[in-house]
Amino acid sequence: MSNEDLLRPTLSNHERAPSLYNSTGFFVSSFFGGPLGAAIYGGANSQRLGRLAVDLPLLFGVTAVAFTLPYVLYEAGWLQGLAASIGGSTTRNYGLIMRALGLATYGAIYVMHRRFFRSARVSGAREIPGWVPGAVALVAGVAANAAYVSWLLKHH
Amino acid sequence: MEDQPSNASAFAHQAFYFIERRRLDDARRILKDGLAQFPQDPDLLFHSAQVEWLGDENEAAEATARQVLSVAPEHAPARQLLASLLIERDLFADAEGLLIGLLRDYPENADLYGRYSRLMLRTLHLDKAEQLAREGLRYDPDDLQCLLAMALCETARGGAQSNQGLQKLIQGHPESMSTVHALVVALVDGGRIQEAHAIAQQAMRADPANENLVTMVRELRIQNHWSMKLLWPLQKWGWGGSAAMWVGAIVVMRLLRTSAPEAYEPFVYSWLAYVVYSWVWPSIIRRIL
Repeated sequence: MSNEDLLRPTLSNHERAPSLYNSTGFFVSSFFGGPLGAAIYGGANSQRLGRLAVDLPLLFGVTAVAFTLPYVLYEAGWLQGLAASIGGSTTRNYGLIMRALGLATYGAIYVMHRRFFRSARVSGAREIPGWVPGAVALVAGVAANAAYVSWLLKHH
Repeated sequence: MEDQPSNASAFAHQAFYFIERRRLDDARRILKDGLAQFPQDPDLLFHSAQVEWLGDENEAAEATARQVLSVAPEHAPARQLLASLLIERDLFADAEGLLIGLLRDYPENADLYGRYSRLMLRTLHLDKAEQLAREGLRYDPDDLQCLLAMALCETARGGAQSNQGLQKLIQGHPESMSTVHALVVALVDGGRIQEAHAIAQQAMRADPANENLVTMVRELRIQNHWSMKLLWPLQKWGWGGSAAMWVGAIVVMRLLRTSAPEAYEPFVYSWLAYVVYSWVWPSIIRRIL
């Protein structure tokens, strides 16, 4: 980057300065909202970072993998084995597996946004309250998990 | 320093003497006398803005800094101070405009590159922050602002490699509060709260009037309190640690339910107590200490 490039304004390109929504909200949305909850909250962060168009294929891909994995494991008969080894209610166990996949999606999105999270931590940048994306992520995520588990159990 | 100055420059010089020593009341007195005689002097107005800023009167400081710029639009220290004030108000794009203007006027000023780099880091532009710090260090390899920015950038990058920026900062400016700041940030980032607390405490003893240090020591004292020790996985690995603990707890619960049912309930209650404690206790201890 030349000196002239370095002195080209970066922040005037953004309607709002890049920032991240509250990280607790991200974790809670991913834990309870599963892969879709994580993707919605992560997408909200991408938008605040001004890189939604860049991140969208990855967000979509990670969520698709997280939702496809239980189906593939179910078809191979492994998911039933895993649920049985946990013990207790099958529906609840599938719900737990979706939560674990939500945390895995959270991890993947965190890695994608790692340098932003770490820059915010090191520079002491303020987080934005994440109530709105959190509520959307929770409602949509919980509904998607319930519908998916019910579909998996009824149709296979 | 008690003789009455006879010109604006002498008033400004004396005010600066007091500002450097954080004797803000004395500086205010001198500036009041000076501005009574030279109400439009840019340096006197600038020092007034500085005193207001150091006294946490940011609105007044901004108004005074703008007053300086209406009298002397090219006044570099006032432009720099205004940029800092705008950053504190989260008006980052305006602050960036001011810093770029300053860099165009003073293209080899390493300190300005360091400040711009910190602004970029604060607005999460890590790559540009690093490039700016590197560019500044080309002009002055020992510049404090650039070394601080570089140390923070390297801490943000993380990883297993040693933090060269921090090492250079410690070697070049061991006595600087910026070094303490960067070192404490790096130690906290590595989960070494106890060492960070000890260093910040030592620095506070050397500069007890520094409010940033007092706040930092207070926060570290909370994090280092004995009642917070059980939260160390969360302090060290953050939400990743929390996720791992949740997965682990769920697996253990399910295993206990089938293999050792008598231990299941005690474990569930202990786990729930830990979860409540991890959510509630940090807020409570912040009010107590």
